[in-house]
Amino acid sequence: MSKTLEKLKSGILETFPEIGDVPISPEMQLGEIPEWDSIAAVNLQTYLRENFGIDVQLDFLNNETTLADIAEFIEKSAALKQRLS
Amino acid sequence: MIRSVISSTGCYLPDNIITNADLTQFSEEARDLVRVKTGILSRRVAPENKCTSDLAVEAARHCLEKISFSPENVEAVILSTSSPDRMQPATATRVQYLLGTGNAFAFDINSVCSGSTFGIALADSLIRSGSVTNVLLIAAEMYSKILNQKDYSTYPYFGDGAGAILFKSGSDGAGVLHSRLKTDGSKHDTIRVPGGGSMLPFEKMTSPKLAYFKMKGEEVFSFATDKAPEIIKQTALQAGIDLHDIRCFICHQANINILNSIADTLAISREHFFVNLHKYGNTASSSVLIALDEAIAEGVIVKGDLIMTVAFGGGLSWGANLIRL
Repeated sequence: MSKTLEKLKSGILETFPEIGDVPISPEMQLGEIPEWDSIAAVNLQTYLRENFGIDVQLDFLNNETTLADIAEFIEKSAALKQRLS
Repeated sequence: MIRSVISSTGCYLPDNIITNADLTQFSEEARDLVRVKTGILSRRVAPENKCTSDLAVEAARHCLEKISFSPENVEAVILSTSSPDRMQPATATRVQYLLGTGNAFAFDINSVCSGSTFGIALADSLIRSGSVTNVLLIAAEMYSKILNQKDYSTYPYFGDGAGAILFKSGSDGAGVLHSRLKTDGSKHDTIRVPGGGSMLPFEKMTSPKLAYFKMKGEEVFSFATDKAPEIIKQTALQAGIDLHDIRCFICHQANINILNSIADTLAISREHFFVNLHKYGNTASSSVLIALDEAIAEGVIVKGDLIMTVAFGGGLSWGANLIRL
């Protein structure tokens, strides 16, 4: 698992402490997080902004989005920032 | 017949106003949604060095001083809170001390957001039993200290505040006419602070965030919109009152969409539902007493009016009190 995914996995555990035994893998869809809804999406959005410096639209954080999707977005955003700096 | 008459009311809201725009820990997109989801525009947050009993004392002082009622004459202090100063002793004890109500016995009750209606019923029972001739009922909450500031499912919706009612025994027809209280303990997990008690002691918590308040928002919405109209109808029916004779419904101020749904379900004009949640957010069990004090202060309700206080909250619990002012 890439460093981005490892950090993202820790973030999921931190943001949703009651996730329990749900296996956290790159293929995990956000809809599998217990009580996932539009409000949980905002909490994840806040975490991503603070820990990865990225702004994602709430639309992107839907039930079918996987952790791999989010990790890819993070890495692409970081690469873009580097090219522009 | 002895009844518990509302002799005075009071409230206290901290000075510090936090608007939705101030919640910069969330995206602008999310901040805008707070108003849409709940109708809340701002909330009050108490200073760092204050605790729940401090708010309670201010509200109670406001209540007693309004009618120059001497604290020494208060016979009982009941404090409704779900955000106590400490696990123990009862937060009401510090209130009793600071307020100068040394002749009163004092204790806490906790029925989360429905605490006001439970407190009114309890105060009324004490007076009707003849044990006391007056009860100072206070509801005080400081949720800012038990919420995760980065949790969008809770933080934006709650505010700090306190309200108070001085009940005195009377027999001229005014007072608490009827109360109805309900609990569904099968839903005890819907609204909760998971850690810090005997169920999950601090040292067993897998994350410090388990000591923060949590709720299942959609379940709470469904519960409130279902049970509140039901208990309003049942309370009026048991008291032999037509709903349209009630001048004003003072409901727990959690969400404007809940209040509108209750009004529409009952086919009662929304104008009969007092609203101040846009200013203060959800102040848990103190919301009804704060709203009651404001409704009286603004002249929305006056002596002689029939009102109904209604609340719903953790437990799950819900209650209503029919009162003649």
